[in-house]
Amino acid sequence: MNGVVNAGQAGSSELLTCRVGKQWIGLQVAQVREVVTPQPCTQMPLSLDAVMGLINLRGRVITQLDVRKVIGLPEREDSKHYRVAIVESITGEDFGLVIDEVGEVIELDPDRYEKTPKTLDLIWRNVSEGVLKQDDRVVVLVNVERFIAITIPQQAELESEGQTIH
Amino acid sequence: MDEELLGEFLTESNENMASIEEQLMELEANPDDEELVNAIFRIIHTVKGSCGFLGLSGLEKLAHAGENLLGKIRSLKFQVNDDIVSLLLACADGINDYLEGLEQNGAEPDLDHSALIARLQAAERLVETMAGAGVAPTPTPEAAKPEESKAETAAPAEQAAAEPAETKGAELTLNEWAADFSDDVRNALRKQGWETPKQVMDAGFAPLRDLEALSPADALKILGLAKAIVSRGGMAEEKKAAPEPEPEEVKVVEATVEPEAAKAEKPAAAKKAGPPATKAKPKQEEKKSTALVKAQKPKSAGSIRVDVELLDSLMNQVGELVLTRNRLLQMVNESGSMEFMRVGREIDQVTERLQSQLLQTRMQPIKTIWGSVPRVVRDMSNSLNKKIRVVMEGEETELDRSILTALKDPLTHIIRNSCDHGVEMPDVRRAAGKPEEGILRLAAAQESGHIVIMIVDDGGGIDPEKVKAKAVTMGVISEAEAEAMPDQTALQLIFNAGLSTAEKVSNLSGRGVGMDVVKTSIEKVGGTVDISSEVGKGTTLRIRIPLTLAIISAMIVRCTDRRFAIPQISIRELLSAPASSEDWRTIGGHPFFRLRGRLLPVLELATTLKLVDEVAHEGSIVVIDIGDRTFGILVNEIYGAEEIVVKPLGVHFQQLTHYGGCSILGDGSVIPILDCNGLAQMMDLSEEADKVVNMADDEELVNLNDLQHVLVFRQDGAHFAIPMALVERLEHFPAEKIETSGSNEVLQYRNGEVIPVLRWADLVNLGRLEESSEVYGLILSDGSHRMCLQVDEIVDILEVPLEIKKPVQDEFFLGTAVILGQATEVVDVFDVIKRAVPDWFTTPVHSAGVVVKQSIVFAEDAPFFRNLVVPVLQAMDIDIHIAEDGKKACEILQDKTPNLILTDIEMPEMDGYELAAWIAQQPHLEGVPVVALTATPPDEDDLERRQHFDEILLKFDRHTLVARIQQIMGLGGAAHGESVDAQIVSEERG
Repeated sequence: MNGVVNAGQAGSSELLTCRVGKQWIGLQVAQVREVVTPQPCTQMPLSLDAVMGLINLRGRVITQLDVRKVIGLPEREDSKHYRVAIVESITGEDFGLVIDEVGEVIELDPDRYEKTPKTLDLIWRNVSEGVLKQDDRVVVLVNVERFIAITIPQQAELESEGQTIH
Repeated sequence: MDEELLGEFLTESNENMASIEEQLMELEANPDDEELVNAIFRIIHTVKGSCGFLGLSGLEKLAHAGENLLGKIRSLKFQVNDDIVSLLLACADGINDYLEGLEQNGAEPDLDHSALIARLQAAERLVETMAGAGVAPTPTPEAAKPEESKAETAAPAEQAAAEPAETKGAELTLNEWAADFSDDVRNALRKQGWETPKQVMDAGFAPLRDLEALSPADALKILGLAKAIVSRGGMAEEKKAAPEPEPEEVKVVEATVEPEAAKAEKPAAAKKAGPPATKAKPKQEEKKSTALVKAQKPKSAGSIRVDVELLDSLMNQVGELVLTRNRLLQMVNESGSMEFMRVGREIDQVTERLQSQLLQTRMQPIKTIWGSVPRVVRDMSNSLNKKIRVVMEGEETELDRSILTALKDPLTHIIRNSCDHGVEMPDVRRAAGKPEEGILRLAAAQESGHIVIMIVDDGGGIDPEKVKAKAVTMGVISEAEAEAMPDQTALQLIFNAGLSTAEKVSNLSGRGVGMDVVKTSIEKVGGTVDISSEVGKGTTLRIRIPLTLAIISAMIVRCTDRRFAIPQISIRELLSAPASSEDWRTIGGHPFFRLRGRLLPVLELATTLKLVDEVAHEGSIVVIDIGDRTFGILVNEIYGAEEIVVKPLGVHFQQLTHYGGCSILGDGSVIPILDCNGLAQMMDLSEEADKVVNMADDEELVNLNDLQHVLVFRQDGAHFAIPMALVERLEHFPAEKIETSGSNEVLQYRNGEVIPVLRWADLVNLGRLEESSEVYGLILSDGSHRMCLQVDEIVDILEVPLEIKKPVQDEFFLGTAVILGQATEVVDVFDVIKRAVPDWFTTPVHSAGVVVKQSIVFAEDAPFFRNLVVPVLQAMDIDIHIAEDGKKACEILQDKTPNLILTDIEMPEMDGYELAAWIAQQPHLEGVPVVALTATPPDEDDLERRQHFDEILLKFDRHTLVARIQQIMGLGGAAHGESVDAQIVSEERG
């Protein structure tokens, strides 16, 4: 279903690697506006678990999504230590993806690129474009649109368990 | 297609078409007005004429059919009836459809108007037949004319093809055929060697347009004229061979297929083609075109067209600027540097001006959406066989364009409803003793930062009992609830989905869906709507909307450790609700707060939002009024009001109806804006608790009329309130504008009027803020006098029930009220004015009166005094009937015997003495005490004058007034006295 993906084509060949828990994920550099340090965040009562709150990024209000929550990982030990990747979606709205750590920008090597293995977590498989095997790690290529989609109420109900609307 | 040309065409046509509806309706009223027929004909003709060049064949066909019908009406002097006007309106609508499509896509839309065209053609024949048969109401000698021309021109028409005179048309000299263009235009053409219509036509549009003397519109017109003349000649030859896309003649060919139509068409064709007409016609047409050109010329050269998107984006930028400014000011204040503060203040002022001026650019008068109302009402009343007249007030009232757009549909729906269900059939109206013609009144006005739109009909009104019954049948409320429900609340039920009170469902205003949609759409733009109605008298819908969407005034509150913004428009008042308050109640497990004898359901924000599991019942209550529901929101603390920029929330919050957006505060943090409608839905009342909502206990309900606008200001840390009734304006001006004149301070007001200035701080011996460069001034006025009261800081303007708790002895105060949860001294404007303008009250002032109920008749011409005395009387639980002068008082007293008559002495029309003399002669008023209330009592020994009255009281001596009235009316120890006690503790009684 996830098919072979054209991530390697069309010039979008650079990936930003980020760590969430023990898993490394890759975001297409073209979709990442910037990575910022923790900003004062306003929690929105009764919103979804995945929604960490709203931040003011130079006058723009951005919804911050905690990747850990989306994939069902426990909360990070040091709640003050995280990074926010500001990503752009096709709808024009920007989102802040909260991750544990930022790695580096890597070239996407088409030869090492593989289909999503069946053994990967279901949630990762749902949002993955494939995986990239490196010497000591596996980087999951995350499709940002699909990742955001599963955090939005209607889709959330359909596609993932554990995400309820109050 | 030439885009510039098309643009010109659209601009011109839209302008012309905008007026056609109105003109058609005027024609309906005055079918004899030939000028009007001409004007309408010209408009359609111009549209049609331009189509040929632009290759708009569909539009051309439709316009042509309309033109032919109008042409016939014009030439036969046929008096139009409703049907023909309706048809012509439909034709105009069709043309507008084309124009709209063209504007959107730049290409002619594919529309099928063949049925309409057929109807237009049929009508044309009908006009012909009726005129021919002498049915036309025109006098016979007149009617003979077309016959004559028919006879005269019928023959040439047959051979128009070969008529040599036609070709001559193409060779007319410039002065002959373009006589109505300016000399400049003609000279320019002559310079190019383009003398005859043919030469002009051959030159083509582009070179014409490039001539400096010709505007593109002129170029288009002259080319159109040239082509019309040439084609009239040349056309005839081609007629048999190939149907050239020149529509006029093509139509004739088509029409001849039908024998009956041929008869109709021939004279027309003949007239157009016939030699006698040739010369006259272009000239005539041209005159009209020039008239149009002229009409457009006065368009202001000082204005430009700006893309709305650009304005929207500018608005966003300014919104950001406002936020950044807020942050900057906060930092500046913290820095404590004087230099920074000065710069900060300048930036503050510039930003404020920028914001308000930019808001101005987005404002449009409400008439832009009311323009279509007469048409809607006309169509409605025609199809319903009713007579309805539209009256509009305040059409110039301006609103943000985005709000206007959002209001258009709900307004149309309400108007349709009023026509359909509101105004009765003429016979019903006659039977009810009303004029057959119903009146639908639209009024718009600005009111303290909001626009209020009223839609008032004088129809049958809505019976609250019927609404209740219906609501019970529909299962919206239970029978018990219906019984307990006040009428006003019951009326609001019509906004409930699925409720329609019309016995007959008509195709015009739908079946009960609608009013709920109307409400939703109005709420979407931050507005509120409520309805009031009196059976047999009519119905009033009142819409209140903010001036602009982007920036709203909101109350910032704290709940647990979080802040939330609540839009001011939903807030009715703020209450302080300490845990010790005896007004807390728990019914059916739900908290209530007793407010003026009514149980207000309270929503605990902290538990509703699941911030905590349980809350203590203490803090502040924000009383929310959203039309059909009133409830309180319990919060921990109220910080104050702030202007905030509304920002939309992302997709993750779309289903959370309790948020209306978010904003950024001065400290840079994001704050959620609560949506009170959404919150109301979250309030989960048990059945038992629900029953007591809207249920009053023994005391009177607070009527909406008791709400008053008050302005709250701060001086030296203390809060003061002043009723808005007398505040004309709030001015913010440089301190140096206050000048000293002798021992007094004055201000040069608008139009050079010099008005006295009083400083509040000096009056009440409070400290002033250190001299700042800008000061606030409240301009107090009663219409003829003005003064300025300078205060330090404006807190807010609120609509609150002004309940004055404790009249105080001090000068300048009416008493104390709780406003914004804080004890606030209410300023006695009268005392202040007395100080500034001692002779203020000796000049009579005219103004409209307030209508209250009965029991005391109070004659007083000055609104100021009415405002002063009425609350006192209301507080005593006395119903008051107000008359603006002695005459009005007589009218009221004709069929009324009050317990007391209270009158001013100095009044226009009929003064207090005359009134008293009149009262003495009325048998039914025998024994009713007449008390004079005056600022200038007659001399102690002027017995002749004094004998008129049972008592003479001084106007400003409120304490004696209260005591005496209680005494006279026997209120002293009576049951009523208790409530007086509660609200007014007069010193005599205390």
